[in-house]
Amino acid sequence: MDRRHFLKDIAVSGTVVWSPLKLGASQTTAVSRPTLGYRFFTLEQVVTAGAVCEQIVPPDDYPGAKQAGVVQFIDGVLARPIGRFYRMHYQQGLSMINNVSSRRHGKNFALLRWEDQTSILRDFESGVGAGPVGKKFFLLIVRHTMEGYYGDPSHGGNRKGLSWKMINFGG
Amino acid sequence: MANRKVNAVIVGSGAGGGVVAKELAEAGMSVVLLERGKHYTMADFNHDELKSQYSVPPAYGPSVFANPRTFRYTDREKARIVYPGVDDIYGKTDAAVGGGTLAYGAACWRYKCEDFRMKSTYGTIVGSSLEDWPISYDDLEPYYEKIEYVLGVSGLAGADPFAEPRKKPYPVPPLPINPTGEIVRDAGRRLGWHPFPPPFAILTAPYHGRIACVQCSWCLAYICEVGAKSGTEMTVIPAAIKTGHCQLHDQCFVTRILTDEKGRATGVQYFDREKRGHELYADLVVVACSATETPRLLLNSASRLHPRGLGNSSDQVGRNLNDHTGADAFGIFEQEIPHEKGPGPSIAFNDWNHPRGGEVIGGGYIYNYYCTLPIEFAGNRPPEEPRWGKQHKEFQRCWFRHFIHLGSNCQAMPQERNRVDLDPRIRDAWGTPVARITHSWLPLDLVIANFVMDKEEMLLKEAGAIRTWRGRNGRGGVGDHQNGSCRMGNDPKASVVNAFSQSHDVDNLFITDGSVMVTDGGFNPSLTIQALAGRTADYITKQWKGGAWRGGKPS
Repeated sequence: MDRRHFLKDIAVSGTVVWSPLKLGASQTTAVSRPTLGYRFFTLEQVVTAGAVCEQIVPPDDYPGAKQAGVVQFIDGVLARPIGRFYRMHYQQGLSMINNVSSRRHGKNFALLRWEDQTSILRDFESGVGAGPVGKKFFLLIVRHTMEGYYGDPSHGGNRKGLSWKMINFGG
Repeated sequence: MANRKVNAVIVGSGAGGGVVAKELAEAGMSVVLLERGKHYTMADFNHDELKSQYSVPPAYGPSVFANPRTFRYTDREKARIVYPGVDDIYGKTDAAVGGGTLAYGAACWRYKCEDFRMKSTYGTIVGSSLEDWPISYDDLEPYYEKIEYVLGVSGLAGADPFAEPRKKPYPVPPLPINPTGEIVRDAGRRLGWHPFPPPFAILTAPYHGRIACVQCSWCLAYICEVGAKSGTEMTVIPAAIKTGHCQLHDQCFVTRILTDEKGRATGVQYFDREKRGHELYADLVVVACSATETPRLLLNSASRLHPRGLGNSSDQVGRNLNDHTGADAFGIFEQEIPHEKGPGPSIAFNDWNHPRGGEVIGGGYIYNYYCTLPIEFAGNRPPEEPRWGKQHKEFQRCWFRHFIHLGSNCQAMPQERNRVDLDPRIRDAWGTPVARITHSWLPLDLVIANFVMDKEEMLLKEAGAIRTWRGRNGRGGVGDHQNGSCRMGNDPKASVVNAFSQSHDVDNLFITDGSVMVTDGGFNPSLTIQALAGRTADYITKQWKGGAWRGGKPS
């Protein structure tokens, strides 16, 4: 099973305990990182970030952000020494998204219907969902998703240069 | 490194510092050039879209860890902390050897006569500290010519009917016209405007051992992979080092200018890349750290004899901080428009830069903008279009190759209340108080920018655009073209430096970056900063040969 399908399966089956309070940090490291090859994100964060990124660049006849490797790209950014600066934004921001999701729908963000996800992210964008902190995080993940989806494939995103083919860019 | 003494220490290796290093070293003076950022080379660039100064974080510094600033719109607010790459309001100027010229767009303009005489031309502006410069275009012309030939500026003399007179042609021919340039050129002609190929510090022919531009799409915000872009790190700094009289130390952060019991500068205190502290003594101190960091350094160098900061008896250090209002407009077209042929800009118009009919105060030039790479296009949307999601992706797919971006640099009016001072609470990684920026535009600044954007939209529509929109504007904050914060003038009570960029208070202290500019001009400032620095260097070397400033502490 490849990584994408594995993620898709756990996202659908919802067998993972989502709350970071319930899932201890050491357990997260032991379970998720060696399995998935992520250097910064926990399993929960991978799934949430994947769902958020997929909303930002959804699939059509060309892949969405997840399949293009955007989550791996962002994980790579955060794992670099400079990424230290953004880690707190992601940790805080992704858990805010799940908190709002739980409050409104009683479920983790990744398990929501597409329209409900869109509506939560629109609120984050406007600052309604989680105030200026949430808004700032959302703008950051939008920028990073665009970098991952439309940027150079050498950083782990834009797999096989597909987004460049999509817009007929020479690369 | 032991504490030692040289003739001149130069702080900052960008447009201002590089030229001075070359001129002083060539005159036989011993020079140390200190740069807070890293020393990148062409080998650090490989056509990677993300190795961009516009990436998050910016590719060429400053470090997000070590260099916070604080920002507020007016002094009635509490300043909030901002970091490079995280907050756009921080500005995008590189911190590296070459400074802002490392990854710049290399637009390389001479200013117009009116740019030096703004108050005489337009009168007093309410709310603005608009002034004339103490020097004129004619004073600077020989230094414009000299630096154009050092850099190998490309352009076409006589093509711009509004340009000031020049004595020599450009060293190399202009960049070829690309498809977007052809479209706006023809549309401009139909409107009765005057298109011409703009000047760039980008080689179009081999020059001084460097090769010509290969016209790739990775220009603005990138290091040139073939070294055709003439930043100081490719031109004047190697020339300075070649003399054997100049040492370049990168990743050295200067925290303080040292002074003696008479209040004269004696050198600098700095931390090297291993965070070891040093004192370096010098007969002359030249500060060229940008219009934000230069006043910060002077204010951080307060002493008993300079209680308000070094060279600040006028209380003008840090005031009149200014920048251009970027006035951009975008258009999409039914027909496909290839726009990968770099660097992108190939046609400009000066019809709305000090227009003779007096329709606008100052104004700015208009040009077709740099190649738009997919990531940048992903951030370019009409205001009513979503910034993400399905519709965003469709817009990207439909219009990426049907797009023209016009840019400008519009004059903004200097204001005393727009300033850099020291934040009372926040310190950087070296324990030094950070720059607190207070900046907001006058309503007039936005009137000027809107005037120019009207013209840009007019041009796009004439060219056949089916939809046009404007860039965001009016947020405040200063960026790449920051200037004005240590203005030059003849009156020591109303300015920081004299017409040779020498401190009114401290005779062996010079400032050679955009800080000394009195007004910002309707053009990118790098050539003017370098010409001013060349004029200052000329003054220094003549005085030096006459015996000035020698002595001080023994080595």
